[in-house]
Amino acid sequence: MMKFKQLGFTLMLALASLQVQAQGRVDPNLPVYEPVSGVSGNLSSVGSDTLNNLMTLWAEEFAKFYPNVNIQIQGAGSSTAPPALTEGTANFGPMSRLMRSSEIQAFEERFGYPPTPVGTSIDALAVMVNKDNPIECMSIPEVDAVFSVTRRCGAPNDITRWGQLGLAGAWADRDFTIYSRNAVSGTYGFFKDNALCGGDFKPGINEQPGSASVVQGVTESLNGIGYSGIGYMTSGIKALEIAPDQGAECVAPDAETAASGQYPLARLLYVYVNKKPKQPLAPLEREFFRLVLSRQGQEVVVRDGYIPLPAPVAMRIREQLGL
Amino acid sequence: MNQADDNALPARQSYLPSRASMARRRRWRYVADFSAGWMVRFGGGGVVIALALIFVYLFSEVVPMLRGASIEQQASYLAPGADEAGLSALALERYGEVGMRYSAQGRLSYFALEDGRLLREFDLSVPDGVDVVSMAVGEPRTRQAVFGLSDGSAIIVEHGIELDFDGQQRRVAPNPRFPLGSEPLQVDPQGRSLQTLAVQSGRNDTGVAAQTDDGRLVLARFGTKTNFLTGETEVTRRDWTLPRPPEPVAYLQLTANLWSLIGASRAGRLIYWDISNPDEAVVGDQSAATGPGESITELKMLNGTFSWIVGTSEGRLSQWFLVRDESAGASDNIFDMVRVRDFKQHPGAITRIQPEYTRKGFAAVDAAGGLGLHYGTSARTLYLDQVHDRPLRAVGVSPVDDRLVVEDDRGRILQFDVWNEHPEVSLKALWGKVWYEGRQDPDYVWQASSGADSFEPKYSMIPLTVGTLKAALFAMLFAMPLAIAGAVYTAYFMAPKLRGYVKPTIEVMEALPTVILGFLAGLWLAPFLENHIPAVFTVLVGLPLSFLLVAFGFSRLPAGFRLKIPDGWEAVILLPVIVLVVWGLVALSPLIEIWFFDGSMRQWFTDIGITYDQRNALVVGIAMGFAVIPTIFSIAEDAVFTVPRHLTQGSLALGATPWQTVTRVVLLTASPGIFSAVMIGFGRAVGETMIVLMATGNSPVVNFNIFEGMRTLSANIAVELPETAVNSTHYRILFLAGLVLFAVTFLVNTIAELVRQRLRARYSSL
Repeated sequence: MMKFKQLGFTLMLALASLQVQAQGRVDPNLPVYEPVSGVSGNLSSVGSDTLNNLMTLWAEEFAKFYPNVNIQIQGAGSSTAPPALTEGTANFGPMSRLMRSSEIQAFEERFGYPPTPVGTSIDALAVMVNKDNPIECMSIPEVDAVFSVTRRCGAPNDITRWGQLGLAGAWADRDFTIYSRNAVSGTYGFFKDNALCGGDFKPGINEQPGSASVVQGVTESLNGIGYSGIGYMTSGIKALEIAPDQGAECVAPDAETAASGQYPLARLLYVYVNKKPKQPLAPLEREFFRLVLSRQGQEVVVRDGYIPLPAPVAMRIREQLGL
Repeated sequence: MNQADDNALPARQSYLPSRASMARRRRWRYVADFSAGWMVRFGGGGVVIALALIFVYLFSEVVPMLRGASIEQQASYLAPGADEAGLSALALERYGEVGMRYSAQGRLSYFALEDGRLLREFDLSVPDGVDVVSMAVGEPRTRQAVFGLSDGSAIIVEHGIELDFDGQQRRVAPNPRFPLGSEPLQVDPQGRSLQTLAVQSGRNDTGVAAQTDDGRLVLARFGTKTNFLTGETEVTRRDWTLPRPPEPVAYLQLTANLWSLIGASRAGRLIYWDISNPDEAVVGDQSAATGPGESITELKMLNGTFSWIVGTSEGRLSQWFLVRDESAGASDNIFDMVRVRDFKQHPGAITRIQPEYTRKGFAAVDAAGGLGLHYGTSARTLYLDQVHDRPLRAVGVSPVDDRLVVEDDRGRILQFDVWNEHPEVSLKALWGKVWYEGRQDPDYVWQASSGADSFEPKYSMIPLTVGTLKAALFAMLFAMPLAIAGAVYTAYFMAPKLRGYVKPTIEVMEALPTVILGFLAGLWLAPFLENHIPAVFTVLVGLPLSFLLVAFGFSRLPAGFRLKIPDGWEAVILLPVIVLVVWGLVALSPLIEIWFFDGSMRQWFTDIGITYDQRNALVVGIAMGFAVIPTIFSIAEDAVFTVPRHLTQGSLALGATPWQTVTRVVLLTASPGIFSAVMIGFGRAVGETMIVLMATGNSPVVNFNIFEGMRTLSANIAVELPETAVNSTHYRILFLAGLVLFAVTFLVNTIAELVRQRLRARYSSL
């Protein structure tokens, strides 16, 4: 099953990476990974769907160096990571958002110290529409007015027709079919906080179990609109440019704007790990993070369509982890 | 003769068992009978016990939600620096080891929570000749406090802590921070004393609003920009003078997005400033918050800073928030203040309100020594009692809501342990309309989680229950006519040989995994239907019409030709008809759209105001109908088939036509069976998970529009249970959803059984 899934992903990735290959460049200042001896055991990861492909690819890369390591990766949604880390059923918890304090609390009650987030790559959360949709750019308040009932980002009116976004002709009277992730997802939480300013989704949104099904839904509906990590882009959909505010300049989701923080929906993708304070990581975890934060690991990020960490950031994270 | 023969034969050649073996067999039979009897009893009892255990387990997970809050006093001591007069503020860290206290003079002391021992003290770096004149705290989770100085500047402090790990030992160490530097920040450019203050930190902006001693209102914003690559922070400062309040304000509160400023005058007037564009700040809505002779004694934003609590001298507490004016003629983004709900009245004047860190609850203390724990969303007062015989002047709650400290007017601190796990739940919050923060009206909403703690969870069971019934209803609308009519035809009219093929085939459909049905429905059927909406209607009308036409045509055929088709095989003629008609109508569908609907019926729906979702109740109805048809068909067919032959034959012999026999004899006699078939099918449709999960958008809407989706109880449990923290309120509410589901199926099945038995009693005399 795992193999089959991986194969499917790899195929999809091959398609996706063709588009974005040119975007990201791995910083040449990153160190090259050198394997060490004596690494074995089980590498299990439970968490984000956005990071699922990435974790799989990293794990494959890891297995090339350490064939004795058993690998298991589940990706239902970021919210599944904290319970798995807390209960000890996984040693890595990939998350596309930071943990809520209630989640940290559950972990602390068990171990006495908080879990450690490790930034691994950058994502530009993309708002996407069907490829035949002529729209190019939306502002955050407009996104908010399309997706939410509360309009906390300050849009004056609810938006229910594409015409309200300036489309003409047959598009003027078309309504929206809104695709969203479900509540397990970190992408859902991030989008809610940043694109809806903490407001509520409309009740009529279509909640999908994974990013791939959001993409699939938007591909199938001419009037569809949805969001997912940039790594899930396919040819059936179009990622919109986003303006941080009404009347501000539109910013395309790409490596440069995301890394500089210009793109309003850029975020770090984390992998949480259970690290005892003031003690080094276990060899397996240590080597995994050394790989992820190396040139090879960041090349995988580019291959998956996400944006690699700049070398200074990666070096800072390595330093914090004591690698 | 016989006897002689018998006697002649040796006893063991007898074919009858010997007395001894008879006894042995009897004993064995008795044992077998006895054990079988007990096994049956055990099995039956086991089923009942298992059901009861499920019920008890579900119930035991739900019960803690019904408990209110309880508190228990742990310690009592004099606060460090208790001799200093005036206002103080208290805070706790989440480990329950260290407490923090701000004194009116701007001193921050960290003390051990168990005995009040002073751990460390920090004094603000106030320049010589300048006094601390006012103090305000920000949203609790920012851990910020601001001190206003007499020279128009302010200092922002964070009462942070640091965790120090010494081997396995955890130590909580004081670690105050100055996010914008420890030097005073200029708030009033004219340098007048800041009398009333408010502070709030947004994403990368900290705002300080203040009323100066000459009655002006000033706002300063300190923008922080952190370089993503280097981690360095730079601060920019801007200030504005806001419109003067109609009367001086005693309390100020900012929202975290720095778009609104709320002020309260002591006389009881609430004033709202729209400062979303500070250059054009305006005084917006004003509202009286108190009765005659009553004054406002406290004003605090709840977690998230979307709503605020007003406390009065009469001990009244009310929650308010801004609601957008959507009335016709109102210009864009005009907000009104709305008093949303009131809480139980305290015996004395409210002296301090402390919101919880991650929920919409708050603790309030009053001048009569009373302490109350209240919760916004559910409008519950979980605890209200007099805990001290002196007036209380400060209260602090733990970030994880398990501890609480209060301080009386002489500086004595009381520390309490708190159990307050599920304040979000009340009967009204689950089943009634609730007015959630920032919404236009009270509503039924299910939206249980988000990525941030400032989120107000919305746990209305109504959308889920309605969704469950909606899915089951449309599935039954599709399945019932097909399954029952099919069962009657198969059992009564069909040739036995053909029936031998048809019945097992339909029953095999039952084995089709529902996940595959859901998959097909979501990925293939839903887009297909969206593109061929007219076909749905034409097939619905056209197919039965074509049957009638074919039947009419068949009856007009020459007898010789007609008789070639054996009795009971007529249905087979319809097979090519069904295929042809459906294909024809689907092929016609684009033409119909062009002729009547301007090219797109989907768009026509939008234009006349009908919402159309691709993954809707129609798709679910068809897919789930497929899943329940075998169940209903199989049981109903058995019921019809087992109608005693003498009844039907008697009816036919008396001259009734086969049709009359079916409608007046067979259906009535089989009605108990058909009814229980329908009910079992309904029970299955209510509990079905995978199809709804995959074929709908899981949108928690409250309507019965066939072209919109739904979110059912079971699909909701499947989606959300993996993400909930064990024993959290959300977790327990999902168990409650399970309990509701269990109760609904239990109820439906019980009613079905009662009705079936009555029907059977009535028609058994036939």
